[in-house]
Amino acid sequence: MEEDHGIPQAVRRPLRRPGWRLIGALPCCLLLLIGAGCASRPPAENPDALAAFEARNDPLEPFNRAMFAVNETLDMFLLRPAAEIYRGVLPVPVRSGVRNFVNNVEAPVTLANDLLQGQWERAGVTATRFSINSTAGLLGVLDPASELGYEWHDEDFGQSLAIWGVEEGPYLVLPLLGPRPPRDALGWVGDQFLDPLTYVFWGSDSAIPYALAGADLTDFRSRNIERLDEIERSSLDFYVSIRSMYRQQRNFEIANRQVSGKEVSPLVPPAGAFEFEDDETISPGL
Amino acid sequence: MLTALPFWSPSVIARGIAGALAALALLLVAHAPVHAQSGGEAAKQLVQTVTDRGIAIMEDETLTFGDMAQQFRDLVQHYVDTDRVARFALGRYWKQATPAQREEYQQLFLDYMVKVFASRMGEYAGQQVEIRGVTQDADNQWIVRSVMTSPGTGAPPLQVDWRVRRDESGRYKIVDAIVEGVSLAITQRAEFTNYIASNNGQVTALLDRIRDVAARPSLDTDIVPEVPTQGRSG
Repeated sequence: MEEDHGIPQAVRRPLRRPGWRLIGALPCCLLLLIGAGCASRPPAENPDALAAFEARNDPLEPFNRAMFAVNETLDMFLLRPAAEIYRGVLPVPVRSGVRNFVNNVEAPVTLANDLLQGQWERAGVTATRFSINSTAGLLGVLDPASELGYEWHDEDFGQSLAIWGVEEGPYLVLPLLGPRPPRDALGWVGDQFLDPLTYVFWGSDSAIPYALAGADLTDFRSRNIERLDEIERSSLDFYVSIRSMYRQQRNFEIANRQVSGKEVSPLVPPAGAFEFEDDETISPGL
Repeated sequence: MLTALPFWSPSVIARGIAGALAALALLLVAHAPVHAQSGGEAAKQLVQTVTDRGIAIMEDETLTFGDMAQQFRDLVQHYVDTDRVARFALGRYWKQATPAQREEYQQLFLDYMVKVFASRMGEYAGQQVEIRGVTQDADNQWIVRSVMTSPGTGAPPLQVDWRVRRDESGRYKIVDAIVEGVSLAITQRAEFTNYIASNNGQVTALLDRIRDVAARPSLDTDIVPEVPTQGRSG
């Protein structure tokens, strides 16, 4: 429980759309690069370093850092400028419309995963939101369902796998997709199959899936520009901060955003973590 | 494929009953004799005070960055158990640090955190914090749930949970803030322990870095400087 986790909604879940076209390309890249990117495991004679290595759960760290750098470059030259232009040019209602539309298009996947997790009430909320917003919400651009009290929530196949007991696996950073440990990478693939739009556009050369992915990603990025800047500026190691934050936030989502109670994420520090037996921390007079 | 949920579903009815019960309870409590505040209430009040004053500081445009940082520092020193958070953040390396190192580390920690948070909190000006409730997590610890909203920007509300601990002298202090599931204490510990581990387990390396940051007047440059072309720094 030593390490990791959490991005404030930034790189959380971009790119649901033309995923099925990239599925073939990724494993080949991975096999080539992973061989060169393994971290060296400390010897057993150094138990502290070994324990730190295990806790970090990042045996592919050199590879991951390389991918992280690739993503940072792509972000710096492509995604961030696009996000800044998007935010600068379009007024808030238009950008909210984009966000609402994308959320609505992705509702079937959320619904499928709600059902896969046995969350019937949440599935009901998702279904209601979809039907209200698609009709009264003008194909999802507006969000009247929220006004009626049906709050949006997100589910993906990675979370379903987690609920079924699949471990996250070693940390993994993929190009374009960002942090995507094996369970979440598998989740992303699963989502492509759960998505009705995959089948609608199967085999067609339409640009629509890419346009949707681009809109989703750009809008996400535009909402987190300053936040990520601050984290980067104030981090000792941006890669480590993102790794820690990603894992924390994933667990938070898996626990359906509960911090205390029986559904809580194992990464939220328990009360006992802040109690120390030999309490040298109490400074007299404070 | 889609079935709309009827508005009179069991959950809606349940919510209605819960609302009625809550109103009834409030009515009873309002007429109850005033006793000493319960721990949960004290915890909520602490978070309300801290967030109100924190936001007021950030919104005060007459302050220079130096003034703002100083006021933040006072606020944090008074209401956050920085010594405890510092010890948590050092993780396994606390045992290995000498008493002198531990003391210097805890003294530096406050200034370091103020610098880091003053920079990270800048964007939270203009926001409102709404306390939603409190649950007891241990005999002396509570989790206060709150939501941070930015009215008018269209940004979704952020869930922020505060861990409040009552110390042996009865004072309530914040020991962690969990923003959208991300615990600041855990993230800080990840950074610190990783930094020490990649410097051959030397706590002094971390102390040097923290000392450097804490001494800066502001965080307008990166904490970790770019490697100069002539050679390596630090």
